[in-house]
Amino acid sequence: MSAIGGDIIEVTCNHPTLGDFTFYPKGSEDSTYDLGGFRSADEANGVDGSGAMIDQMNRVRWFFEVVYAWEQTTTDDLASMKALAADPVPGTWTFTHINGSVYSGDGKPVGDIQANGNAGTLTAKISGGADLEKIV
Amino acid sequence: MSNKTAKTVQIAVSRDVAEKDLERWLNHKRIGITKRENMRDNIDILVDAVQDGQLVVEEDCKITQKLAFPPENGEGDVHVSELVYAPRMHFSQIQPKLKGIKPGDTETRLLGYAAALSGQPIGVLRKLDTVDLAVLQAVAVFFL
Repeated sequence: MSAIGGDIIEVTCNHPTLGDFTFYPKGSEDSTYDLGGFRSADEANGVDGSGAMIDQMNRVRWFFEVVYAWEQTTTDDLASMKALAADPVPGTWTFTHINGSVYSGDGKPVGDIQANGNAGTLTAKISGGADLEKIV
Repeated sequence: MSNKTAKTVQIAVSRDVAEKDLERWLNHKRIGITKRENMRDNIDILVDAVQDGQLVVEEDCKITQKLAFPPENGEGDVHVSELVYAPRMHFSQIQPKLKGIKPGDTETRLLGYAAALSGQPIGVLRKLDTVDLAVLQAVAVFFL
């Protein structure tokens, strides 16, 4: 089957104490998935005198990044992201693609959480330990 | 008949127990007699599901639906094998799930309600088998 690209249509977070949250990404925006796990360092000098590769393998967190619509009327997405970032306990996140796939991982917003009042958008990066997995 | 097939047709609880379990849930939700009469068909679907072990009414009146056909992720792995529905919900919790759904699109609206009740994304619920979807819809209509 051919690859089907397109929008992320829904992002949800179930948090054990803060409750359930739904965020809607902006249409026609790029999205970045990183499933986490182990990566080998890209070091040109990662080699010994015999020519054998020195493979430095390190674990990395999963992350997901997209631009969201900033809902301020019925909910406040910016405040929700802030609250989720401020809580030490991670939530369970899901990311639904227009092609029907859904990925899930335990994590929280990391780094800057900024909204654009003119464009009505919100940028946030979600990341966590273990892996980001395709659930359906 | 194989043992596996025989297991799927076993009765989990008696009809009487199933009806009492569901009545406890309806009482918790304060569903009146008239509404119960009007929704007899949906109640029968839920009682059947409790009797068959597909639904369990928990002590706190949450409902657990054990999926007959859990959706797979394309690699044969199952990550969602059951849905747990909250017994009550504020509209403010459901509202975000209804964004962009047309008022006349009843089936998707029910998915939105079920998504809010179960905490699952609509994308997962769209992948359910029709057998599981029928039970999900019978639960969700009591929240409309």
